[in-house]
Amino acid sequence: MVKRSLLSWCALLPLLAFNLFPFAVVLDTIHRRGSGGDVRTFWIGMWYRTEIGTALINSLVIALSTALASTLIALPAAYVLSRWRFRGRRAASEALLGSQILAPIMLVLGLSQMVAWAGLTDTRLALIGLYSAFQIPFAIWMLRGYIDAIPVELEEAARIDGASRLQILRLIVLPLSLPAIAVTATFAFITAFNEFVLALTILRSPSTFTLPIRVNALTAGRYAVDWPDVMAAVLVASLPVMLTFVWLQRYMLRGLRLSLGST
Amino acid sequence: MRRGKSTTSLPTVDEPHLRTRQMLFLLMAPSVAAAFFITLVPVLLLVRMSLSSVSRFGRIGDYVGLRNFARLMADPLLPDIALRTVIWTGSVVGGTLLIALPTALVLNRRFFGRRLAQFLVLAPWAISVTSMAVVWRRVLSDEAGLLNRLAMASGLIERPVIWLGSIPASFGFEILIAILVSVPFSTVILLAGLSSIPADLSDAARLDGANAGARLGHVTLPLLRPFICVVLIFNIAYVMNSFPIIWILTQGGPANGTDILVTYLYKLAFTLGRLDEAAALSILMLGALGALTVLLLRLLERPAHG
Repeated sequence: MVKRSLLSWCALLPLLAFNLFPFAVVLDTIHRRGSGGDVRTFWIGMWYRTEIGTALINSLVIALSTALASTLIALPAAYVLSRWRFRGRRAASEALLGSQILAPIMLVLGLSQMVAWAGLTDTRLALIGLYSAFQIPFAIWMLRGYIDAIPVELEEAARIDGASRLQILRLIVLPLSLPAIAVTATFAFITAFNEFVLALTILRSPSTFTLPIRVNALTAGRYAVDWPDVMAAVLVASLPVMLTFVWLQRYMLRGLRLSLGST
Repeated sequence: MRRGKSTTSLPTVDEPHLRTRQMLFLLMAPSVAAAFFITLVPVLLLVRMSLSSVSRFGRIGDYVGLRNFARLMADPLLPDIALRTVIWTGSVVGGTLLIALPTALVLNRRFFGRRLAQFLVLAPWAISVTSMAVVWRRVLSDEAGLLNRLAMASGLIERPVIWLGSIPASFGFEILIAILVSVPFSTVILLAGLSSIPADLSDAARLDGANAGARLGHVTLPLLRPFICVVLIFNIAYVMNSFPIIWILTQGGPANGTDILVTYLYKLAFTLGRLDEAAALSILMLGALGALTVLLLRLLERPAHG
């Protein structure tokens, strides 16, 4: 066991080194800032200079709305795909997996035109709508895996007791799939929080910038980049998802495992 | 479903009843509508744009047939970019699988500190690709940065190198970053696959005298195949999403030397204002990607042996 542990760690070491390297660079750059004064002054100054606060709020609003909307819309569809036997069910499942390959970047030109026609260019609402729609297939796929694992006998028992479909959905399926809903919403949150291409295309004014766009704007097309500020901004931009990840990692992995198992 | 009737049709949720049909429709409608809205509408828009002349502000003009496609094909930059995209996709997807598979095999066994190791393997997942790219841009453009100091301390280089100055180095690092970004999710999927393989199968093979290599080749990998297909599907999508890596590190430059199709597409549309050609390129890429997806799904469907 000791030998195997040592071997395992040695085998993983190169990958772990690469994984930890960016964190080291962030801390190293902040640590090596030239004039900066004490830590507190640096962070307060950075907060104002980079306008990271506005971006943080925008990102949180967009990501939370996306998580809520996509999960709510996906839930009934996932239930149908899990419980109903109907023609085209298999095709629907495959389409779900296949649709993952449809990256927003391929459609970005059409999508930006669509948003422009709707008069929603440079709004957070446009992003919420697009992110939710793009997240729905994955959300259905995740939720379906979970619902498959809920014993159908529970619903049958309720049906014998005279519960209607809607009642069964509300009183049995919904409470039992709450963990699944949480996990699915978390995935949607992370995806929306970190999305780049659509935000880059649709957002124009600094007041609507999300964190990735703000971080990009701090470096792109500038001759002199204030790297300590940028790295501190990167840290702020990564913190919410990192905390979520530390907190929910176990459940996220289990959720993925369930969904993969039923594919 | 009404009381009384349900007792006769208990486990069948599939009654072709009108009410059931309506319910089905009602429950599926929002998702289906959303899916159509973000795929069909933009695709139709793209088709229309690709067949018309479009001003740089997006005003759609006259029908011009296949002129945009012809122009695109005559673009002297495109062959190199297409080739580079193939190299990029192959290296990133292949490299990811080559790293994720052994990593998952190691993580699937019991050892001291496995949970910590797993957490550290998955850590990059928590950071956005954008942030990752920005950090690496710092690494590769900083003469006094950590990479140069480490490389000089270990005697690999004599003088600090500005890595982003050369095209091969930039593109190589971009591939490396794309692989690092894709490894966590792929590892998770493969781990899920490994945990679904019953341990007694491997034990039985051991009793039959199969060594570790044979067990991997004849038991584990064949059973893992559907999961490897899922990894491929997700990774090809990820490769498309790795746009920020190239965009932030080099913007496809210097002199289009690190452009791949997705970055060139974005440039055509939003920097150069050649919207009609960009639409044509989108259509071509969608077609190619669709064919690839169908192929992978076929592979997923085929039984493991035979």
